Amino acid sequence: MPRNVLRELLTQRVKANRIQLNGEIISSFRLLQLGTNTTLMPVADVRISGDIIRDIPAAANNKELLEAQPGTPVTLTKSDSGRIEITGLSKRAFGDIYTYKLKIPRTIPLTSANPVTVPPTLISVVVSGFILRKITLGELETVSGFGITQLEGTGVFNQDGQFLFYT
Amino acid sequence: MRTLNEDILPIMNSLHRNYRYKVELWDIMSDGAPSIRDIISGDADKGSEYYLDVTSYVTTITLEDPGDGRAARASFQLVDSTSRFNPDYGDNLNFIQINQVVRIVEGDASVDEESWVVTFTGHIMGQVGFTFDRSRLQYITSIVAYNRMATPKYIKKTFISNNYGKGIDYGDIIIDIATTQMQLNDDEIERIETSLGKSTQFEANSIVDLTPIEAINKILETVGKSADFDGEGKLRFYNRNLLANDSLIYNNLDLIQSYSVIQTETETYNSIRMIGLDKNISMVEQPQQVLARASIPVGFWRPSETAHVQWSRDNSLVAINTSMVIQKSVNDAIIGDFGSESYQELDEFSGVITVNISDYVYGLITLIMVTLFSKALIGDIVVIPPLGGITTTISYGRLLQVAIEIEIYLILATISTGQYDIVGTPLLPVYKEIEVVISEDGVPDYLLREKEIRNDWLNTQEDLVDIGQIELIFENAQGKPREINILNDLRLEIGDIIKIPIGEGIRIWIDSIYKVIQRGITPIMRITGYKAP
Repeated sequence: MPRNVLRELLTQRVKANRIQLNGEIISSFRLLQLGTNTTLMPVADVRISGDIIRDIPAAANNKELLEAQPGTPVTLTKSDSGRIEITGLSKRAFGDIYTYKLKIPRTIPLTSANPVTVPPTLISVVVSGFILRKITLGELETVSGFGITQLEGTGVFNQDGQFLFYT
Repeated sequence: MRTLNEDILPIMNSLHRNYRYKVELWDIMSDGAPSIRDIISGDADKGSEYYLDVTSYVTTITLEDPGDGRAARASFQLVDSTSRFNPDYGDNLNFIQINQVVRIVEGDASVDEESWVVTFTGHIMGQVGFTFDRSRLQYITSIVAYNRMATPKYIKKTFISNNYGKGIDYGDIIIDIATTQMQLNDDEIERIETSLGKSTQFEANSIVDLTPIEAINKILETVGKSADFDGEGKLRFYNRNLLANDSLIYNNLDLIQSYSVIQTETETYNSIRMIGLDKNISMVEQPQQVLARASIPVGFWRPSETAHVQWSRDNSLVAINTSMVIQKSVNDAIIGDFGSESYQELDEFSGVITVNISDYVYGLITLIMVTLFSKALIGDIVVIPPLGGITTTISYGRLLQVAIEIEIYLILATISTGQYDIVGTPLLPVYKEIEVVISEDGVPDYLLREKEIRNDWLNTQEDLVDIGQIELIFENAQGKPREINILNDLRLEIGDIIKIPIGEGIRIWIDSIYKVIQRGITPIMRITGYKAP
């Protein structure tokens, strides 16, 4: 079996067995009826690397955790079937993600005496990340219409300042 | 690349060879036996009972260095007409037990043995095989040995390192791991670089629950290198950067027997996600909370009362946007302005609360006291019998009464207490991950195969981009395997880049080396590698 396939199988296995993830809550905790009965559970929206997952329940009624503000790094625990819950505060926050394209260097055979080597070139840097801030009064109308979002609501914007959603 | 003695070096470029080899067995487990360290350092005595030269019994040796951090493997047979290598009762059974040391030395008859090169040092793995062939009257012992990359302490036993401070060179950390965890001596680490040009960015750095080789490779990843053991059993680093300079250039094809481009179905990674730890610690805002509480008794004899408040005793708590909430004002119980209360943030760790008594209070208290005294000084009126006039006397009893009253007023004037809370937003220092994704240009999203590399020893975006490029070019090259058969060249090691004169010159990064050593024949090395840009 080619080495790469073996290595990737191993990596996938390790990844699948990884039960603790790092994330960053991007909203305050709020109560939500998650099950069929009327019990309310504290939930928050969580960013894991470049993805945002909505309404993740907090595992324990840990006061410190439930008071955490948007931007606080948290640890998440993953079940065998891929569900996650917030289990604690973490020491690692996420930064921006820089995406590059690389032209792989190669030798262009022009003449055998004078081959030209194209050096590796990095192109097109894209910075992705999320900006959290309070929605302004003006934005309240454009985003959701007055009366729907609360005045102090936090908006999630992408790096270009484009509004994604509010929490 | 291995550095050869100048006697044997010219032979490597020549077709005229008188190839010779030696196979040495060492007993390292008997009482008083030398350790593998002594053998590698050259301190072990070859005249001792713990050394056995078995070259004359050896038939074919297969020497395979598979690369990629896997242990090199040597297998050979010892053939004799006596049962001296019988693992149960042979005279030399000590030397063929599991874990004993095997060394293979290669050289040339035209040069002194001192110049020969040790190309394998390892331990016997498992039980040796033994066959007694009655038809040929031969006793055959099969031995397999693996080099030091199979040492359990290096690849299986995890450790907890020392704590390394800020500004420590990564090279020093590797040397510390090699000497304290792997217990290698100076000779065994003489091939590694002492400085890697990168140093720690945090005050506390320790490595937990990794094996020594994993830890060293993690640190070496930050400079695009990997570690393994060379033929002599010494720790060495090799390059993963395919853009590095050629280690060796072959100017003609004399030594090269064949060159092939291998058909492969291997899928290679074409995107690398690098995740490092930002060297700047970032602060996350926590919910607003009461940071400090003060209650200040005020009195008129102290015109200004200040209280210094700290969020934590040892300045471990940092807060911003602090303000004072007056729970109970000094003005609560009195009509009029008793005093002013103010708060000032000194720094991120502390602030100061000031209560100033207003002039009105001084005036009032002073007025009361002066009035009392002056009234007390008014003499008593004494009624004199009809013969005399009106006589004035001072009443000492009233003066004493006034003195006590003044004290009471003073006490009354002092008892006003303000209670203050300082609220603010505490900041929680956290590590911030930086993420860099580098993918091959021109490959559409749905064909990207991403490899994730997490390395906390990479602390800036620039470093992540540099190493991400090296890794992406390395992964890309894995899809371009090449194979060459070349006459035994003792200089070559894994990680070397050789340039052979085919077409415009092909650069090959050596990934694995395989050779079969037979008596009287110069071996051909089968080198598998990747085409380097």
